[in-house]
Parts: sequence; C-alpha cells; structure tokens
Amino acid sequence: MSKLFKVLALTLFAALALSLWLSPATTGQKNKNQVDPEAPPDGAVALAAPTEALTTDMDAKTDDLFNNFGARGTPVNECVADAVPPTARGNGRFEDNKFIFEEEETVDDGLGPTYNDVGCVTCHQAVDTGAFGQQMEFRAGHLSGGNFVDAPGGQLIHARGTDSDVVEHITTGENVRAFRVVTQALGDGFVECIANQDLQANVNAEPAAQRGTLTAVPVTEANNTLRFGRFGWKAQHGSLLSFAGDAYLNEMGITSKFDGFGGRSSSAADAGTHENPATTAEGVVDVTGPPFDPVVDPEDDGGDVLAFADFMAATRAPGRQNPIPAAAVRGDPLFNQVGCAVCHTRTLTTAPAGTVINGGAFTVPAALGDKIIHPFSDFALHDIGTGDGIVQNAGQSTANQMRTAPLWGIRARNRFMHDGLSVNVSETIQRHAGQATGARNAFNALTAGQRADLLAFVLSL
Amino acid sequence: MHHLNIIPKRFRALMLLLLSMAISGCSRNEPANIQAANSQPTEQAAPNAAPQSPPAVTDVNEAVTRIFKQAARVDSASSPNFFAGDFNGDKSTDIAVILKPVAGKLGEMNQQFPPWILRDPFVLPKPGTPPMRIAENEVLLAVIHGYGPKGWRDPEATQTYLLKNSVGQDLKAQTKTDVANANKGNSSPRLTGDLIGETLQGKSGYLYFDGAQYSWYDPKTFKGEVDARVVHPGMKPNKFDLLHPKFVRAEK
Repeated sequence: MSKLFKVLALTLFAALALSLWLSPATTGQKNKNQVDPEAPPDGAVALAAPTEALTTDMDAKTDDLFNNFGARGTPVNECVADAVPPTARGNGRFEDNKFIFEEEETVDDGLGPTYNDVGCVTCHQAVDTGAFGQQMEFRAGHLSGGNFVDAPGGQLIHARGTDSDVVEHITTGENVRAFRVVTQALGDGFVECIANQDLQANVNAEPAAQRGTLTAVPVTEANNTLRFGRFGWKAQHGSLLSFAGDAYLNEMGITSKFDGFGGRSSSAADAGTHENPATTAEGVVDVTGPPFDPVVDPEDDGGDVLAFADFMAATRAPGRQNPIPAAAVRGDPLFNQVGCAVCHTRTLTTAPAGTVINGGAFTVPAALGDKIIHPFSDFALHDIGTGDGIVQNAGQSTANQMRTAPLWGIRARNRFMHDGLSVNVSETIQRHAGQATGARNAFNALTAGQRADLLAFVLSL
Repeated sequence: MHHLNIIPKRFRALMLLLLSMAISGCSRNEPANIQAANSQPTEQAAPNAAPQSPPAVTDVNEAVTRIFKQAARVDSASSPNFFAGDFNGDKSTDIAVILKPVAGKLGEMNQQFPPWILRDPFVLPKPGTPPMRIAENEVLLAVIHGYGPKGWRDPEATQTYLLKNSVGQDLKAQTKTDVANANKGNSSPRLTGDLIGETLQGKSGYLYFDGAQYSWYDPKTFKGEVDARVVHPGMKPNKFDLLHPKFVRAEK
C-alpha cells in the first residue's frame, strides 16, 4: 500500500511540475487574451500619496487645459513660426500640439478621399478644444451566420469625400447600422495611464451580474502588444497614439505609420499605404493612389499623430460644476445608492510615475502618475440593452455591448447614449436595461425629489 | 481507516500538500470577462424566450400598476387591449398594452421625470423642444420590456416605452420573419425583434424597436437609408451616377 501511495505522490508531483512549467507566468508565453501587468519599475518607491489630477472648469473663456505633461510652450503665431510636432511622445510643446490638433487638413495634406471631417477640433470642440461635438459617426454591416460582418468597404461609412465618385453609399443589405456621437478627449492622458491590473481589479470588484468586459486590444506602436482598451465607444483602443493614428486615418483619411489599419504593426512594410476602400454604388473602390488620392503614402510622417496624442495626454480632466448646486450635493450619495456607481466608477488612480505602459512604448510621466481621477466609468463593455450590433476590436460577443460612458464633463452635452438619441438624463436612465436594470429600477423607486437631486448630480459632473 | 494507518504520517502530509498544490496550480487565475482582439465568437446564440402562458388580465393589470401605479389603466374600449411579443429582440417576452390615463391622475402621467419613455413614433426627439404632454382620455400604447426568463411578468421588468399616436386598428404582434415574408421585395429597416402590426390613420404598417425608440415602418413607402444620388440641371451624370440605385435627375 505504501508503494501505491508513493506512485500516486510521484504522479501528483509530476502533474504539479507540468502545470507550473506550462504556466504562462513562468514561460513568458502569453495566451491571446493576456495583457501584461503594468507595475512600477523594480526598486521604485512611492514618493508621496496619490494626488487629485488637475481639472478644467469647463469654460472656454477661462480654461487652462494644460496638465504639466511636457513643456507648455507659447501659443503659435503662424506669421512668426510654424507649429512643431513632437518626434517622440512627450518631447513637443503643448501649445504647438494644440495648434496642430486645431488645424484643418486639405487635399494636399492627404485629406480623404473618404473622410468625416477636416480636423480633430471640428468634432472635439465644445466647450474646449478636445471636448465634445454633436457629430455622428456612421457604421454599417450585416449579419452572416449570426456574426457581424463589415460593409464591403469597411464598417465605417464616411460622411464625406474629396470626389463625388467615391462618396460612400451602402446597400440596403447592410442593415446593421449605427450612429455614434463624438466622445470627448479631455483628461484622456490620465485614462491612458491607468494600469491594466487596476482596470481589471475594478471590474473584478463589480457584482457578477453587472461585471463588465475588458477588451484586450493591440497597441499599434508596440507591435500590437495587447492592452486593455479604454478609448472609443467599444473601448477599441488602449493607447492614445493608436487612437489618434486610427482617427487620422478613419476620420480624415490620412495615413501614417500609426494608422494601425487592420491591426497591422506600424513597423510592417506596408504601414501607412492603405486608404479606406470606399463603398460605392458600383461596389468597393480602392481609393489608394491616383486618381482619387494624389498624395504619396504615408501622408503624415507620424508627427501630427504624436501631436494629437500628446495634446490629449496633456489636457486636464473635466472638472465639476463650480459651485456645486445644493441639489447635486443631495444627489451625490444617491448615485451610489441606486447602483449607478457600479459601472460608472467614480474614482480610479493612475499608475505611479515611471511605470512602463502601452506594451513598453510609454512611461508614465510625473504629471500623469499617481493621480486620482473621477471619470465615472470602468472603461469596460456592458450589455445594457442599447448595443448597436457593431463589432470592432474585439470578438463577436461584444456586438451588443458598449463601453460605460465616462460621465465627467457630461453637463457640457445634451445628446446622450452612444447614439445621441436621448435628449435628457432622465430618459437616458430609462433606456438602461440588461445589466443596468437593477440600477434603473432603483432610480425609479426614489421619490420625485430624490430623482431630481440625482439628475442634478449627474449634470454637475 | 485501518488501511490508512499503515501509511507513514509524513507521507500522508506530503500527499495532501502535493494534492492541494496540484489543484491550485492547475486552476487558472485569469481575470474574468476579457475579450481579445479579433477573437472568434465565444457566445452561443441566446436561447429563445422561454415559452410562457398567454397574458392574463390580472397579470397585465399587475404589470401596468407596477409602472404607472394608479395613474393609468388598461383601455377597456380597445380589443384586444394587450398582446405579448419580444419587441426589443432581447429574448425576453414583452407586453404591449393599450392604456388610458385615469381621470384626475393626469399630473402623474405628466410628471417631470417619469419612469417611462414617452415618445411619438412620428416625431424625432430634439434637445430643447418642450416635453410632450399626455392629454385627458388620450389612448396610449405602452410597451413594457421583459426581464429575464419571466419576461414582462418579472417584478424587475419596468422599462417602458409609452407611445402617443400609435393606437390604430387590428393591433397584433408579428414576427420579423412574417413581416419579411409579407413584404417581399420591399426594403426594411434593421429589425431586431417582433413588430406591432396595425392600421394607423388608414395605412397598414408596423411599429418596431430601432434600438432607441419605437418607429413606424410602412413597407410601401420605406426607402431605406441610402441617399439618392442627385445630378443637378446642366450637369452630366457620370458612370457612378448611372449605376446608383437611387439615381435621380433634379428638375429645372
């Protein structure tokens, strides 16, 4: 009998050794869903407790948007000198980056052939450069075997073109259609600096029925290393450079080494050489090169994209209404009480300065590290009954999930939800279903006065 | 037990240790709910709504009271005055009920922050427009969305769209397949759930949930969402214009 147990013990030992040997943590191999933890460098010692991030007052007349990431510089006067873009993350000047963010692109710059607008600021404008706009992005596709399939020329159907021959038109067969309002980008530098494991821990703390789904998305500038997505309505981007490169291509039609087209690495030989094909009446038209696109690819050397990313990274977080109305103060605890705060996470803290993030491509600077922010979002996807059926940088199971809308700065807009089809906060809450059913019902169970207070709180954010 | 006694104690302890280590070592400590880039579908198609007994008056009244308290009642003058279907396509059965405000309770129906969404399918909501009002004796259509397997009977089922100008004749629930078969050759909007077929102001059509609200679909007039390609007077159409499905020449 003793011999039998020895054999059993040896078998167990072998199983244990094998399981440890196969563990990704020990082999360094990652499965496709794995993202790296983003910890401070070895030996780093926290110098001080985290502090509140700098905020804007959401007033274009008085706002100072700069959060001290990089150098501020001076407002650009083109008659004196052109704006100079960065050559690497953080080595440019805020005012130059802001100027480039506010520039309008032309055909000579590579605009189009299909595009949505002519510059970042044309959509991200109110109340400050980088904030909201009322514009809608149009996406379309169809279902095949229950799976979402992009429209033939890509799911993003551009509103405009530089040539009427390539203005996009979808067929009636592309009957999964979605309009999405512009998101705001102020404070996104802080969001970029939230470590993967902190987003994960926050989501893990959510009750199972409300728990969000984090997307593992490629970071273009880090050879598509996976990171938790946090930007865009589908949390389809994890770094500001990936986000800006994607937007430059998809919203303005300008190629760059950061455009990440198709998730391709920026170091790939064909990086920056693909325009978006156009869905037209006669089928898909390849609009790369003449006659539709006279500018040689890549149309931007990456400088503009760096400027966009660094401008967003250097903006302050949207601040609260000041002074906060009494009703909003009364409504503050109700936000937690009814369960809004489960997904609309009030507070997150950025990784300490020196932490390497974005797959090794960016190091958290002092201006953005160890900062307490109040985005009112968990940056995860949820099914609250409003999903638009579109699949982007994650799997088919995310078709009807949307990222929790960050509520900071929400008082500066009046069209809500991803489709902008709710025009007041009360109705917006009533549209919450699925994972948010309990919170909606708890809101409805409040007295009329409490409901008014809670709405006042939301509109003080 | 006698047999165990012959095993040396230290060996039993080692075995227990190894067993627990092996179990913990084999268990994955991966975070839950992560969706990888470009991953394949992982979700099975949601099961169809569980078969449920036909709606009974008492259940419907209970659901109406759950939402509207005592401020609205099922309209006894309409027949039928309720019917079930999965109108928002979430695999949970919903109930459509024809209602009227209760006399003297109009204030509650027009409260500032009602626990329902008041809409007119023929009017797009716009910021800054005055809120719609419900009139005395107005006939309304309430669609109470279901929640989970119990559907509209679940106490949590309170999401409600209250529709003005939406009650005509011959209201009934129809599946999207039935609607598609009945309207072959006509384009349609994206249909996610069942539709409410009826004759409204002399026209046959359907109310359908478009993801944000209930809209009207008239198969005879629905043109889809493809913009017409217009060539203005004096301009020569090119080959793309001529191929466009909605190519029109603008009149002088």
